[in-house]
Amino acid sequence: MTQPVIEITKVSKVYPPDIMALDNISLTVERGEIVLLSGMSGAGKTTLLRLVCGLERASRGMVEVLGHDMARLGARERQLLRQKIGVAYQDFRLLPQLSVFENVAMAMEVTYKPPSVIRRRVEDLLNLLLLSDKQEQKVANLSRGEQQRVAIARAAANAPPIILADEPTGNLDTTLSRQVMQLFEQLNDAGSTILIATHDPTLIDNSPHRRLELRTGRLLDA
Amino acid sequence: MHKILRQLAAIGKQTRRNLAHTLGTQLVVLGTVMLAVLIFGFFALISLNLARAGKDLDRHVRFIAFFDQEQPQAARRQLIQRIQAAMPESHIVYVDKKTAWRRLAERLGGERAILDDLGPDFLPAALEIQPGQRLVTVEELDTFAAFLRTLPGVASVRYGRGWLVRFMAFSRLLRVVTLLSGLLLVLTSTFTIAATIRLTIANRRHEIEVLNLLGASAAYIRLPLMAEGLFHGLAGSALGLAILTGLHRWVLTHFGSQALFLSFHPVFLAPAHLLLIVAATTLLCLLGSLVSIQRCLRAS
Repeated sequence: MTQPVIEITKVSKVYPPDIMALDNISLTVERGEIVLLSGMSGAGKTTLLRLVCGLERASRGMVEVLGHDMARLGARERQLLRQKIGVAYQDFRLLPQLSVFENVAMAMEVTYKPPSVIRRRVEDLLNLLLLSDKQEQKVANLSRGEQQRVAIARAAANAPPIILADEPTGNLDTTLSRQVMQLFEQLNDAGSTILIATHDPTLIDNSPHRRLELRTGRLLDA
Repeated sequence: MHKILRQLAAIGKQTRRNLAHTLGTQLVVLGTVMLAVLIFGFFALISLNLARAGKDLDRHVRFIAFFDQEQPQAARRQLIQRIQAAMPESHIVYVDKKTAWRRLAERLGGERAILDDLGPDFLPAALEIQPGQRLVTVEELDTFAAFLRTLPGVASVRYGRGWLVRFMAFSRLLRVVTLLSGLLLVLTSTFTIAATIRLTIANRRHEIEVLNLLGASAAYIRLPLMAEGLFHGLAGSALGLAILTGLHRWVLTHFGSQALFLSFHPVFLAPAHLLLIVAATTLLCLLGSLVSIQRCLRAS
């Protein structure tokens, strides 16, 4: 039996003074799964993703990622684990003064990949996300939809074991949304486990993958 | 080995990219460091030259022991020997009455006629003594003068006591002012440079945060920013000192023939001082960077 990639056990997250963002959640994501996490705004989707990538600590319960207890990770272990989790943030977290190519390449540069490997991989990803003609443009000059695709390309750059995507199609039209989902399928075929937080009904309804719903901090099987 | 080279290349690339993308900010930091070093260097140069001028002036202290009558050759020799024994390597000249009269007449120039009614004997004979050792306190001056007064035949001793006391008090005050101002200037420069570096790093907090989220190692984040600090320190101080050198040469070229510089030749900071300023500035910039990065890393 394989070890789950993400294991969340009886986790609650309370923000001061007493805002319950997540309430006694338990969830297991197996290696090679694509899981869609739906829910209204404020349901706790982003909080859940932030707990998985180590940006937040659970108030109660245990979060285990790739066999590591997130509460017990040291700085160096946390840094190495972050290289194994590609995250497409809802607010993108891109560097506006850098070009599209540089933003995507940065995820690979921090893992000291050879420049030739970086160039090939980044060009492939930008091609797939219809951004080839923009690769030298500064991110600050792109539309929100384009910035979103850059953020997705950066999350996928290292072909990491886990990809977390927070509302990855929020600013995209149907065609581009389909393109993004195809990229996720490809990454999943290549071995990545993917957790997508979304409230896009077309993405949820047409998906053959496991769907979960968060409602006011509680997890329901959709 | 190959991996280390790749890591160094990646860090080098990140440094170049940082410098290129924040050119405006880099120029502001460089300008601040340069100005701080220039102001400090200018002050150090003035202090150095003032101290040197003070030293030169107290080397020119001269005692004149007046005799009530002309001293015979043998007595002169004995007097000079006694003074040399008390103050070795002193420069001593016996000035007889005629020589004293001739000197005064030369000094009066066109008005020497006023001496016509006075005979060539009216000025006293004297010994002019330039001490072989530095006399830096009023007590030392007074002790030497008292010794001269004990010599046979000496009627009075003059050494411009009032002027020397005032000069020495001024010298002491200057030393204290120099020390305090230097200290204040070092503190101000340190604060300005550290604050500028801190603001630069704070402006790049977002970038540091993103690198942290991508799993960049502490070295990957720190080293390029520390390389920037190193660059700011080295280039800023080198530029500041280069401008100071230019200013010093310009002053010498344009004002070198003026009366002030005929008796006193201003010196420049020694290479060791220049190296010390560059090293201290670089260390300051590096420390400023390191502390600011640590704060940013902790915050993210």
